[in-house]
Amino acid sequence: MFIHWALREIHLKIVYYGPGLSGKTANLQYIYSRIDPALKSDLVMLKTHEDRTIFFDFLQLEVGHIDGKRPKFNLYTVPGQVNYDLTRRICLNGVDGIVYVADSQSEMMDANLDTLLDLEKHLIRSGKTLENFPWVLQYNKRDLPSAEPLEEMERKLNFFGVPSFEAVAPQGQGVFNTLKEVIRQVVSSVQAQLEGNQRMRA
Amino acid sequence: MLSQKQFDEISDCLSELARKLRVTALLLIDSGGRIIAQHMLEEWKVNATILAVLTASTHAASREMARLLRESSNFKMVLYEGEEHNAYVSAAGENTFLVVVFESSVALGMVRLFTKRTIARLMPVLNRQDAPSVGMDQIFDNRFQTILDDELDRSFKEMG
Repeated sequence: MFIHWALREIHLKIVYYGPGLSGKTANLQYIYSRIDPALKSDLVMLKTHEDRTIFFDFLQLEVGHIDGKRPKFNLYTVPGQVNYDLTRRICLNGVDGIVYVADSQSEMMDANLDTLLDLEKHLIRSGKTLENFPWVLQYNKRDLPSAEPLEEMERKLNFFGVPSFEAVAPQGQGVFNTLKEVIRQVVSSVQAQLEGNQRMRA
Repeated sequence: MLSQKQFDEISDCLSELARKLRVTALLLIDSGGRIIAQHMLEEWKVNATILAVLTASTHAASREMARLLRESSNFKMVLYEGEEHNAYVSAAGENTFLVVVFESSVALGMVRLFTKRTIARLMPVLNRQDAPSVGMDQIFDNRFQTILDDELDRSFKEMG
């Protein structure tokens, strides 16, 4: 989190994480396509010539003023392909909240789990774990015939009972609810931390 | 959290640098790509938010490159040479960078000289821990989440 008090800006960094082609970029593209131009930056997409994310996608969103404060949400995706491990680590620097975009197709369950463990590996490097960090799960591609039953996905990926959402990102289903919840989780986590600090001082 | 006084001092430093060089844009950014202060020619309509994010990300990548090349620290500066403009990025401490965009007719040596002086002036300001004028608990008070929820609903109402 970055607070620029002179400008009353509060920056939160949200990263969309998940295996390759799970729909991280599709989330940002949908958000970009539907939001009021006055509230968003350009959508930056750093891609390979094969149209795959090589570094990250970026979109900044603003919402209205909150008692004079201006929250800005910096949304990033990471490249999902296995060999871009270092790039994912760079993108997670300073992250405040994570949307884990899982691919619902049955054949992707191993990749979903491997990438989730990869995420925890990176979080641990900065002293965090999946248990003590604000994140939400999005089960994307729910419209595909090979989609794993929801209960199975919950059992296989949602060990910590974080909020989870079914989604079809290109159509916008679940996109907004996911984003709103991760922001809510980040703010709750900051408030819980502050309350903890107050209790320690008392 | 940067105080108003620090922000004003930083802005003064950037204005002075802009006066001395024919700069098109000056951005002081943190390693997360957030803009701390900026000075930009009005007619140069470039999205500073994106410029800051790209610069910070490139710098993060170059830090990994430096590590691979067994450099003991990150590269101290990066220069992008263009037809019309150049961009000179230099570290101002561990987590802050100064981005100077200038016309390619301006001598690089002069840019480096004045940028170095400016960074020397900025460092004590950036390193200073001013007493915060507002507490985090005042920023994230109980109303914050409620109003934020309403604002998000309003902003995304057409997204479904």
